[in-house]
Amino acid sequence: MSARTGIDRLKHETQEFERLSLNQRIQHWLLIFSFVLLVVTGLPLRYWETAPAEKAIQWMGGIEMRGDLHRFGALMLIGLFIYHLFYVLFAERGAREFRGLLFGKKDITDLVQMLKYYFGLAKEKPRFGRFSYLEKFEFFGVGWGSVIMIATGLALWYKELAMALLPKWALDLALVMHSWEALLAFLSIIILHMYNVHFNPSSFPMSKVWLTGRMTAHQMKEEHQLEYEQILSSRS
Amino acid sequence: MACAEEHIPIKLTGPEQNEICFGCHSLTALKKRLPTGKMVTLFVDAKQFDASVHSTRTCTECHTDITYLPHSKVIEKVNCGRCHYINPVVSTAPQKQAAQYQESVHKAALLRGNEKAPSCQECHGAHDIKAAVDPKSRVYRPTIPHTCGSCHLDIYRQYAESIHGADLEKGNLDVPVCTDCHGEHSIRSPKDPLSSVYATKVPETCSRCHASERIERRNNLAVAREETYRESFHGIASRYGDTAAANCASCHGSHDIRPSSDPKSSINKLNLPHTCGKCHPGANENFGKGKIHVIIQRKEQAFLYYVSNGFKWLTISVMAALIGHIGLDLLGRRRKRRQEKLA
Repeated sequence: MSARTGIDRLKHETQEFERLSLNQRIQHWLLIFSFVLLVVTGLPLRYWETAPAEKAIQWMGGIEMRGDLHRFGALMLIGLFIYHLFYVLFAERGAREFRGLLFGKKDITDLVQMLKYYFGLAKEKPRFGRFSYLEKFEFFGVGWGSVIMIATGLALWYKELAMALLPKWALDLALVMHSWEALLAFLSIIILHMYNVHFNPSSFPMSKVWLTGRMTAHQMKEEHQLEYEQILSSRS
Repeated sequence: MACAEEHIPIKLTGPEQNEICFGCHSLTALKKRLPTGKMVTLFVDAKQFDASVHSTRTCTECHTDITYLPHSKVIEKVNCGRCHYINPVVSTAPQKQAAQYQESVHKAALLRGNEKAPSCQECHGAHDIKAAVDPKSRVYRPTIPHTCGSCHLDIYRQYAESIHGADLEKGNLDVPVCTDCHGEHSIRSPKDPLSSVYATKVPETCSRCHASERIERRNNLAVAREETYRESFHGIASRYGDTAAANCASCHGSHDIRPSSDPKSSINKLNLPHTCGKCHPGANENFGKGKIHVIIQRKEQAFLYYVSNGFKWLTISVMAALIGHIGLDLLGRRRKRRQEKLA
């Protein structure tokens, strides 16, 4: 590519690339809603004796309403999970991107290079394809977490059915797992995910990808340089 | 009697009047037939009266509607509140209790017209009232079940066979009698939210003993009962006002509490499906497989403790790794910005 003039460069830098389709964005918005609902109605149960939990339960309309809202969020999550399973198996884009999310050797070398870079032992950050190792970690974190939460949650919800087959101690175990996995998921989202999309200096105050679905060339070069180069070479 | 034959009314005044009253009322044969047909004795035991707390009182101080002899055949029931509530004339008069009684289920029954409902005399006695600490008193603690049982017969029978009643027989005063759970003068219906045995109040009431380290130790009771209940789904729901959630009595019973080893106990392993089944339709023996009062934090729970602990450390290490990664990222960006400034 020849050198660009000022205006050309601006046009080029602000050129946008589709990152999330409308379908994917809708799935994500629904996930946000159901996750927030589940956390807001779930954590007060774990921390029932604290003052914020008391206020939250009161605000929600009482302990029974809390339970009903939580189960509604659960149904949403289950619906999304099933939909996403079909999306990943049968939709062309879903299947393709899912393959791109699978872990591979590159992720290990990327992580090593990233740590080297952080400690000043490498000059450059690793060049990421469409999905960095952190994004893959988050994706499978949500997937794995959902499996645990849905399985244990359903056992606890339909306790009579569950205990027709399982001993009581199995439900005690389900409760331990449900409660802890919830905390792990919640913390992962507010710490890692919020950093990745909001609080890291490149994105601050907020990455717009979840709303518009598009990334600028500048963002692409920063976060997914390998993919950016691949797209350009396939166009030329 | 001479007075009655002559129909000259004798005014009853002064402390000597008691002797006059006892002139007739010390006769064991003195009886009256009520309009209902029932015979009641009019005998008053002078020895008992002298041993009672009112021994220095005159008869007409309580029987205020009797002022002269002969007196009417129908006399009013004594209103103890005259001294003990309305116009307390004695400093030792228990006013608080009388005030509490006004709010009680017994008073309410009385106001509804239930003649069997007790006011003061039915529990404390009439002419033989003794201080509650007196072993001969009707409201002496170990005697209370018998006193309440004179009306609440079925409950008394259940209680007598329960672990609490049986231990009371053996002389164990740590056990609760009726008043320990229900209150003394402030007894309210279990459906009344102010009752100490209202659905969501039961755990608090039982915990007076079952969360007392001293009583637990002295009686070799299972520990952490309240704590484990509070942490459970039932406990949390109850604490937030759900009256349908199981409280102590829902599973253990109230008057027929028996240890789990007793085949008649509602918490005997074989009876658990029936007990749990009261709220959880279809409950089977799986409901009893595993501890009911679960203490996660203690090693007795074995695998639950290890899973819980494992998750705790997993959470801490994952968060440490993520926060570490974020911290390094921020440092890396700062270093890059500095390099770009220098370049």
